[in-house]
Amino acid sequence: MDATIKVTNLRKTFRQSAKQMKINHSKDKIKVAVDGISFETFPGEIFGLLGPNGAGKTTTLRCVATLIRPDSGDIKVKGIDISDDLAVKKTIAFLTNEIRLEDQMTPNYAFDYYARFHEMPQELIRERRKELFDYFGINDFSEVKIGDLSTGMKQKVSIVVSLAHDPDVIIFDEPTNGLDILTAKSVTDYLKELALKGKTVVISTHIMGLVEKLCDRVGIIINGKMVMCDTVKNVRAISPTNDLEDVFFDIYQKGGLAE
Amino acid sequence: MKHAFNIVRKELDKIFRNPRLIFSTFILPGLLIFVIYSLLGTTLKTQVQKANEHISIIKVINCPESFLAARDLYLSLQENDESYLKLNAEIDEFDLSQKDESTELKDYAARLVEEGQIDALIEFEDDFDDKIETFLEAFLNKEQATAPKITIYTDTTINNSSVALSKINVLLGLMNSTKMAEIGNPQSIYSNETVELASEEETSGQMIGMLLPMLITIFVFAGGMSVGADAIAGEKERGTISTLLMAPISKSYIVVGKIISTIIITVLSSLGSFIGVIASFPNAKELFGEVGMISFGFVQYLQIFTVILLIALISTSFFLIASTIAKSTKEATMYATPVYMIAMVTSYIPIFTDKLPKEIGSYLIPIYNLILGIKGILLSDLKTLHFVAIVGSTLVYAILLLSLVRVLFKSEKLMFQK
Repeated sequence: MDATIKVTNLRKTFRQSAKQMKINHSKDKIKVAVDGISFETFPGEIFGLLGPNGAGKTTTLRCVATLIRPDSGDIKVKGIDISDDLAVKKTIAFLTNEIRLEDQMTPNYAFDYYARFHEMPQELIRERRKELFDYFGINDFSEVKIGDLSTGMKQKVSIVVSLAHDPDVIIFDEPTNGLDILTAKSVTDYLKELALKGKTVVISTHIMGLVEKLCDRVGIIINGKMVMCDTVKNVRAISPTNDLEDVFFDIYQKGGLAE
Repeated sequence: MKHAFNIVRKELDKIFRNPRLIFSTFILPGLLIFVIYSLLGTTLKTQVQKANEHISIIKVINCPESFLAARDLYLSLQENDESYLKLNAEIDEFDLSQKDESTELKDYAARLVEEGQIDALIEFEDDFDDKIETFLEAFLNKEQATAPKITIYTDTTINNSSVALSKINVLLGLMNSTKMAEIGNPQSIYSNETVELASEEETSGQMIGMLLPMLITIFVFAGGMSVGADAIAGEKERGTISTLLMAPISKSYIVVGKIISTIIITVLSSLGSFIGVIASFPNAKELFGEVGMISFGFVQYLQIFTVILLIALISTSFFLIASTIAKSTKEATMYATPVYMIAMVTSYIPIFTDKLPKEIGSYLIPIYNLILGIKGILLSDLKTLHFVAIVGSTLVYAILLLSLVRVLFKSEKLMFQK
């Protein structure tokens, strides 16, 4: 099976300001955010990037989403190199809590506005809007300004808007962050449904439980390096307790010692 | 009170812990005011100096002895009292032999003044001094008589000519008071008419020509500033920029989309201000002076509209750069302020200068060229080549500035900084 995302030796550094150097207790002007990460994802699977805050998960996903450029390494999405960023953007949806919609727009307006960038015919836009609004229960709020919606409803609208063009690859940075338990469940259920439809779903998270419940495979990132990448089942099996959390802390402590 | 001080400390920390804000809040305004006032002062000083040092060329037809006597009297007064301003005037008989028979004296004088060959022309009646004597005699005998006539030709839209007129009036006043003293009567011994050589369009255009460039620049810059500052920095502040950047469209389209929408809002907003100003003209004569009606042709309206669009384009381009660099709308507004202030100062320049510059270089200076453009159109004096230079150079500047915005858009640090 062809990989939908193929990341090879990805490296990304950032220049640190004097202030950041002080905060990070570092004398290096360059901070290595991602250090030679490689992984692949396939259709119909949910792949999780697991790691603590600042490990390099978001940076990796932003590189895949073409929002930032890697220093070195290759990334291909459905065989398209990320240098062709417009073609890549057509095939993916990228979601994060930072991706927000204008408060004064209504869900209807926002959906149409962003869908038009994908050159979708009006008829198709209407169909997709109906389908997604029905699924997420947005219909009653379709003409309410986004600024007046609850956090959960805002997140649902963001998801719906980014899925307007029915992409094959869905990248979701910290999908359940800041969501109440009901909204979080509806989001994870939908991600499962997308995978069942043959889409590739990639999430990043620091929540072990989410990986265990949702993901088929997991890549553990610590300090910008991919320290393990396998099926959740295989990773769990490493620990005598068959517990992902134990495996993670074990690796983390070893990684810490190695540092 | 303790809690109030806690808030005060937080608010002050916000500024004092950010070197960029310290610079833009405390240093930049003072620095700009220093630069602006120094520039304005120097320009004004040069103008005044130039006007004072200029030797007025005053030509006279039928120059009477009494006028020359008044000049000599002034010169001797000035010699004894330094508070008298230097006369700096060359007063000669006008050479009428160069004038075509068919040309009207007024038109001929207008051409010479326009070309700077003379600054003013005075025409006295034949045998002026004799006629004054007759007039005085009649006056003393309490008989009816007509005072001899003096006609002065000047173009008050030209600085040198208008200075010459005030010098002439001083000399005529002196001449009059000398004669008045002889007969002990405060009545004028001559009738005097000043002929304006500038056309009505030029004189009414003069006032609007000073006023409108300033108003248009202020309205357009002020109207566009908040929208332009918000265009990108606002999206960053609200976290919507990433959503936009995820759209599968070239960044050029984003820049073009932002600029067109900002220009539309800017033009509409300045239009509102204009309607307000124009509507206030009848009620605000004390403020604006008597503003004459200028009848514009379609081409002039089109030209004015083009220049307004260009001002909106160039101001928006600057504001978009500020907006792209800044993290928030407030910061963008601060970065844009110097450009706004420079535009304001530039818009005052037409007040200190009379005619449009002839060399093409002035029409290539950004912002200044647009202000010259408006003035030129209002004075019906803008050459096609100069208009083309204004449009062409402004488009080139805007393209350069917007290419810079596009480059800045690629900066991960600028687009995703917190």
